[in-house]
Amino acid sequence: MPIMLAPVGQKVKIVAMSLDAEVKKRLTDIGVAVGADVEVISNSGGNLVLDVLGVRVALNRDVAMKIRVA
Amino acid sequence: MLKLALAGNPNCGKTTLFNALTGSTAYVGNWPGVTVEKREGKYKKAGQPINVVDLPGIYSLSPYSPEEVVSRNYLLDEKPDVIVNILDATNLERNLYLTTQILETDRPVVIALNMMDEVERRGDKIDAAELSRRLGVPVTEISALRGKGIHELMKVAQEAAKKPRAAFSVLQEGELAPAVEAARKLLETHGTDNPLFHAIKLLEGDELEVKNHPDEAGELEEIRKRCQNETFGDDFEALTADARYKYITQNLASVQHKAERKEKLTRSDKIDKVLTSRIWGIPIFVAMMFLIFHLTFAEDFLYLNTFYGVSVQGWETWWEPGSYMIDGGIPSPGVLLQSCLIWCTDSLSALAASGLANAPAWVSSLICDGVLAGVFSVLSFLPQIALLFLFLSILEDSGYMARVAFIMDRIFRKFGLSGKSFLPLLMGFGCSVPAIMASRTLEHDKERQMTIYMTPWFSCTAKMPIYTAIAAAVFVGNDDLVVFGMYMLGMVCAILGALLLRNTVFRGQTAPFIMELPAYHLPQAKSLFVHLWDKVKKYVVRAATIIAASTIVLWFVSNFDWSYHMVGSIEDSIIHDIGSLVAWIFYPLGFAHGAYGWVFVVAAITGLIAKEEVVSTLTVLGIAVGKLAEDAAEATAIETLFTVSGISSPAVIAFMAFNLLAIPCFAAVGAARAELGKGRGFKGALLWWTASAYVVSMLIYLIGSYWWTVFIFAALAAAATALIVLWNKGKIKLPARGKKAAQEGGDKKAS
Repeated sequence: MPIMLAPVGQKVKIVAMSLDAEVKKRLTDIGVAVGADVEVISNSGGNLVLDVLGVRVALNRDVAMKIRVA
Repeated sequence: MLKLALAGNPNCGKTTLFNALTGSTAYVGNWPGVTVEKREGKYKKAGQPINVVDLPGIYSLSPYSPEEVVSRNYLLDEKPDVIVNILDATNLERNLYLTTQILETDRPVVIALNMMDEVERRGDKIDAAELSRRLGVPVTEISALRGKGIHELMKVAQEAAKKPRAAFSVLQEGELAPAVEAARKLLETHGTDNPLFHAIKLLEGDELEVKNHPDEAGELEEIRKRCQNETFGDDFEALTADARYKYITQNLASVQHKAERKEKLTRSDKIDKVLTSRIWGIPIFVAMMFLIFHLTFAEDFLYLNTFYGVSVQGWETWWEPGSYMIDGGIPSPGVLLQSCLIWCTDSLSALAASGLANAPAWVSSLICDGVLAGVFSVLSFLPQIALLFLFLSILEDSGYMARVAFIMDRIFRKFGLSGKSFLPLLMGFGCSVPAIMASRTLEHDKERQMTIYMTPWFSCTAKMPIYTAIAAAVFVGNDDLVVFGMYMLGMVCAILGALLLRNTVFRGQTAPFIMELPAYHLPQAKSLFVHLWDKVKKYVVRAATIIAASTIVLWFVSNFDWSYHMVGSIEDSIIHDIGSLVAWIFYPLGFAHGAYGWVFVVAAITGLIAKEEVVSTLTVLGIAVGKLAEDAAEATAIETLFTVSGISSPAVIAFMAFNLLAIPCFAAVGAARAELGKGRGFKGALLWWTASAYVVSMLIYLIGSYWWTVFIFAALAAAATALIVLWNKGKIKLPARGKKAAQEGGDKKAS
């Protein structure tokens, strides 16, 4: 499912990111990589704050729609 | 001299360490991307001085935005003797991702675990010796903020610089090893420097690398194909990233022992629940901004007088009558400080006037009506500027600004900007020059360009005196509202301008919003005041140099005629002739009308050099005009000027709007030129500022004076919008006309 729909406060694993190479690279460098365990800290209308390796990362809705988690 | 480079993730404390090492006062803020340029300083406490270089923060050595390219190029091309890789020890794993890449270069590396005090406070432990053993480089523990361990770090770095270090990659183990080794050999035979580093970057398909190594492309493609994987396919970049993160979790993460957390959410998370909430986020931000303006500009603090009739009798007569205070409410701290300063400068002026009583008339006129009046009028805003700046610094330092970017993203996105561009724009409230430079953190060219176009519309501290002085003279009692309103006007124009540009000349996608939110922390008093002092100093120096010099010129042209004789009335002066000559250009804006309209024209034109000039020009010319008026004894020069000229309220607002939107100042134009280049982008910026200032001011004046014109402009705006929409959909093909209409249309909406 897209990470947008992931329940808040539960660990999920990123399985795919269907984004431009450049955006994907940025996300990967900041820690939001395929295979990473992340947790949605807050979700306001699709704009997310994630916990990745203890860091808080904010994403906007368009990006959050294209990250799939399991 | 030993060259030492500080590298690390954004917001991991590089600049704090840099300041601690070199005694500099470089600006530190609690959000990613504060440092956009490399900075050099000297560390003098070792035997021989060490050249310390502070680099912009990076997440990896494959750069994404321009300021990150600076860091990568420095590390690779300038070959520092030793790289100090600073890690935020509270986020060890993510920070080690960059370390794995830095270790792939052949420079000596020292790792500094920063924020160890915070790690200890949380009850966590990190085994630095073990980490050092596993990575093969020295690891030291520091706290840059408290200056702990930094001298030891420098000793270790000096030692490390003496020994060469072989490049090492975590990718040399595991399934990618054969590919990495093959590529490395290939580059080595071609005689490339740093073969391991370039080999890996080339395999990752890094844009810069591929451009620099066209010869090896074919063979590398072969190597890459041999190494496919079910999860990632032939996406080597994702493959290496995964390998790095896996290595970190499997081999390095075990050096830290995290204490059990009682609660899952940190304090920052709880604060964010409120501050970034969908409903409350934006209202809280607006309220906070209003409170800041109220504390700085309000003459009726907390509206106590208006609502409850609380008033202080006679406080304003502590000093000379004629200070511009009104009767009634308790003043806000900003206004109180300002009136104290005005009392001081007024006393000094009076002293100078009495001292020069016997001097020739032109001498006392030059000193009292020229230099002192002009410089003091600019200086009198120093307390309010300092206070406003202090409040904004507190917000920045606390970590709130990164949240503001996040909550504003939702709104900005609708207008074609990402929330990230809000950070440079907000810095514009301080000064446009660093704000324009800060636009480098934006990844997309078009967005960066648009942000530079909009930055001056976030009124800088030099524009503030224009609003304050005029509001105090014309809109007595509503000062804070008028000033706040002008700031809002700038922001509204910026948003509508962005919308217009996005749909005409800067079409394209908006960059996605991806940003690390730093943990909140209490602002550091020391860094706040160092930064504030810097700002105050710059302002005073500006007042004492450029402003003083230009007031002398202005005094001369307003007191002498073309045959260099001192004039009795300003109507015979040189400046009157020049001003009147060009005044017609500004007729549609309203403020150029009337016998003294040319004064405002001159002020607006001098404002193009520096915005502080506007107030000093109005003061110097106001004194000269005041001499002609009879009932001007009690009021300040600017008040007199506005009374005598009989300028209408819409024209006053149009005048402020023109100063708000027009070409900011020489320094900001220089910065824009440096960022945009000499080409079309820069010329476009000048045209954009001039045209929008003219059009918006004209609309304010015309609609304010003749309300029914609103229908005409609304119709024109609607027609222009329709044209743009049709044009963008490809229904009509009239690019030239479409553009022109677009320009008018958007500016109309902006008013």
